[in-house]
Amino acid sequence: MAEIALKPAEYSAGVPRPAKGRPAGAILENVAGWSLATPALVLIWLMFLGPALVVIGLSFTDWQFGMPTVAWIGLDNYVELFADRVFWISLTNTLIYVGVLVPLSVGLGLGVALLIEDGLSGSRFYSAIYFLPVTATMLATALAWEFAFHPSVGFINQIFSFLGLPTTDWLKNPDTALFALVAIGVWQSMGLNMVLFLAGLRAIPKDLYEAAAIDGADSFFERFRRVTWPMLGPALVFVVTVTAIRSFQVFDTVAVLTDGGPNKATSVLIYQMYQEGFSFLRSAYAAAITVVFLAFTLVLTLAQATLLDRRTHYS
Amino acid sequence: MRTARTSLRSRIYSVLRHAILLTGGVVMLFPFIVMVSTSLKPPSEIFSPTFTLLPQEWYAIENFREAFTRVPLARFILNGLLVGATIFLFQALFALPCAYALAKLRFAGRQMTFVLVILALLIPPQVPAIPLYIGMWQLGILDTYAAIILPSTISVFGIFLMRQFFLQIPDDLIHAARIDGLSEFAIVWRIMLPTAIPALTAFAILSFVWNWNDFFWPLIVIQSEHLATPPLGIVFFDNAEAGTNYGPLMAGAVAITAPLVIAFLVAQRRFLEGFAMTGLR
Amino acid sequence: MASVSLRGIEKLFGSTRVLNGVSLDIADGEFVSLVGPSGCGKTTLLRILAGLEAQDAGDVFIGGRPVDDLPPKGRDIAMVFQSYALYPYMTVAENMALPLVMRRTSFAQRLPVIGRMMPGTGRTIRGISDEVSAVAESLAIDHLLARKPGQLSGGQRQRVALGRAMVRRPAVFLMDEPLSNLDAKLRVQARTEIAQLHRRLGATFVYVTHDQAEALTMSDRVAVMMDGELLQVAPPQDVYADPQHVKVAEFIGTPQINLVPGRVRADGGVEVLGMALGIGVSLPEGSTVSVGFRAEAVGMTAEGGGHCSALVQHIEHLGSEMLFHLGANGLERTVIARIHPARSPGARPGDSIGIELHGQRAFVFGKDGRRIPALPSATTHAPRLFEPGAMLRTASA
Repeated sequence: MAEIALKPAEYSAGVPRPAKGRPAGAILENVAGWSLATPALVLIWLMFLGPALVVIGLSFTDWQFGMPTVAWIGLDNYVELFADRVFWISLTNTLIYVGVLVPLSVGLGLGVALLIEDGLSGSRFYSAIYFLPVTATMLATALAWEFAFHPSVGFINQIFSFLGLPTTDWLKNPDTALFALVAIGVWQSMGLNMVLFLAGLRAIPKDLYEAAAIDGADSFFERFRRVTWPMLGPALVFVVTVTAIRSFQVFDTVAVLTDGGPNKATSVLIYQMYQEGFSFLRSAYAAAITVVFLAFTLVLTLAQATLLDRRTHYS
Repeated sequence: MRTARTSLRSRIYSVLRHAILLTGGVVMLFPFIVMVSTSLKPPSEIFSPTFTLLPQEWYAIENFREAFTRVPLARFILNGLLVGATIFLFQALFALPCAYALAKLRFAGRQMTFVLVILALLIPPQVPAIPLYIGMWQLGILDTYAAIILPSTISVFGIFLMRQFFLQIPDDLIHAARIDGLSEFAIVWRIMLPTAIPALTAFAILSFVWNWNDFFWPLIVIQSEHLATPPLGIVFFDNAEAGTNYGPLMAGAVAITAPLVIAFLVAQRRFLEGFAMTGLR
Repeated sequence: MASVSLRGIEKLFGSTRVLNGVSLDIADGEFVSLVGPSGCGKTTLLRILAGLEAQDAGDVFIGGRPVDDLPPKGRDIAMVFQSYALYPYMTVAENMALPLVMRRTSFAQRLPVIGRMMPGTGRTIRGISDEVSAVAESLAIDHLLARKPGQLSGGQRQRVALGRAMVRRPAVFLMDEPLSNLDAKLRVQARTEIAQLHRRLGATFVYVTHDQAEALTMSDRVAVMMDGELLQVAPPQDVYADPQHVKVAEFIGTPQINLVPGRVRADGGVEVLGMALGIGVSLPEGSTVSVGFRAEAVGMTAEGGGHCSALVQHIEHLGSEMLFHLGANGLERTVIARIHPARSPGARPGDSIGIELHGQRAFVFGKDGRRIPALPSATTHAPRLFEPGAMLRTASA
């Protein structure tokens, strides 16, 4: 009985079986289970797990796209990578991008969700507006942003000069280009965070707020601190990590608006990987970058899992 | 607490709330406004130093005609629909049986299967790109529809989502179906599929939006203009125009953004439900 | 300790009127249950009393002081919610301490790190923790103080919710169906405990329930509510034995009261199925009334005797008593008779018997549903029927 090895939580998900075993039924269920799961399993291996393993393997070779021979070169790719100035720039840029975008996107998403949920009127209207960028094609809106950032006729510079603020060619200035991309990223991602927070807020039982009011915690601050914040804990951890993982993958805006420039100021990990792998065809080197990227993603997921474990209240 | 009869304070709060949300809303809408407004203007007005919301001279027809003739924009949109629909059909075809087996059947290796699904869920779509590219190059299917579609035929997120949904369906429903003589295969398609329609619709929306908007993978595998999906197509357009002819470019951007935005405005609740479901895992 | 007064409370939800001018005076230390079917407005009334909901008209007084403009925390009340509303991320001790923390510490003292360093915080917190322990001990939940609500059973959660209400020693306890999430056995036990708690604390209790058994067993007075109005406020025995409205009579008592149509004769006597009941009312001749008989006011006799003949449709054996469901000729609804097993006539389902309606124990209700006081009437049907032991005779017949 292999099922006995299943954890209790998994076990309960299954079909309760009468006490007396029916071997024939068990075999049939095994056959059915395998035949229904196998096509998906094969594809999971073909499209995700297999390629992921290949990427790791490839990163220890010298293979370039189209070359007839492959040689095992151990850690040489990583040695080269860690000595590569562009890699460190890309990694730093990615970390800055994620580090600035996540708090803004999560904070604004939470703020908007709180404001929307706290009132009676206009909730649907506002959530639609704030969510609109999530469904819109990033590439198309990126072009609109590019025009808005245009140094002379761009809307943003017109506003800035009207307000007497300094203007610049946002996407061509190495000091501002990355933050211009962050602004676009925040604009695009906060709607999803808002929706996730709204779902989280709506799942908080109303009588907790009422109990808090009777207990004396009825100011905005106390309500937020005693009920909303702790009840939102798991959702918050999830939203933060998902936003971080997604923004780690930033590519579209870089590829279409800045090409990683000016002077590598907006080069990010996935963009460097794309260039090495598909422009310069250095597949093995790109694979090494991919492995670094994967490692960061897994660390984020691990952090999420540990935090969630600690913050889940219901057994 | 909103306890006492409408007080001055709560009215001030309400006004403030609307003021903040409206201001933020304008910022959120502003790229769309730029996009639409520019697509209506002639070049002279686009490059005028002061921004106006509406054009003095309506130039929409010229811009949109230019966008649809300069590049096969209609073809891009058709490609987007075709690719999105095909991918979703495959995803449902593979995800539903697997999700059912994971949720409701006991078979040796079920836990291992579920662990593999979770593992695959952790792998960002950019990670398998290089090996998949190499594989398709060897098969000689680069620069085809198949190249865009194949990697997305399986959605581990879809499997996970449907499994969570199936877990809530009472076992008795399946017992009854078995007693009525349905095979496990028939249970998936005749019992589970109809009960799962709400979850499946939400997943269909997610899947379609993702694939319509995906840029990274089509950029890698597609060279031919006529196979481009909408985001890739607009980049072809952008490159052809060298980024100067904003009117038609914005018209093109409007054309490929409009289908999803309109779908969202029409089925707003479904979209929000669908995206809220990404919070399940 | 405090009395509670509600004066003409009205509440509309949209265009639906859920409370229709409810007035109720509750004495200091009294235990009053608001009982009624779901949707009758009892919970809304409680929430208005708590300050969680604003009334559209009327006033609330607690301890003789108008509290309409006070938030819940200013009303000196505590509430036990149907769902208990325990904070799932706090331990039992933290849950119970919160009301005291919010009252006894300043805003600055409650700040996460700085608060600890403020003068006096430590002493206040220790004092609170001692009080929490004392209350927890009195409820026998002191061993659970470090746990979180998710790790407790339903009964334990209910006690924690009670404890959180008790630590503050409020003047008024409000309870919104606090037992409805417990299983039947625990509920009976908790009933006794809450009643004892009330006696021990001497505070005013307002208790909302849809369960008449809870209302009747615990309260000093029961307030029966229907469709946003209080129909009767009286001690438990009176609501059962002296209902002032037909809906009260129907709602209170298991099995449901038997209601049969009656008519007023020229002399004011009330007749049912053409036979006089031996009671009269001051209504004009020909008025139609509704006459209610509790199951114990219905007797059984041999076929041909009594008010009318009936068919035994079904018998419920409840151990200490038997309920006979009787299909009477000329009556639409089944009549239920409560018979002591020792006095069972031995009838079986399908047997024909006679029904005796004991007029002296009947309630007469007018068309508006209000109770009409009954007077002794000249024309009695057959006084012999009311003799004790009458049923024994029928049983032997």
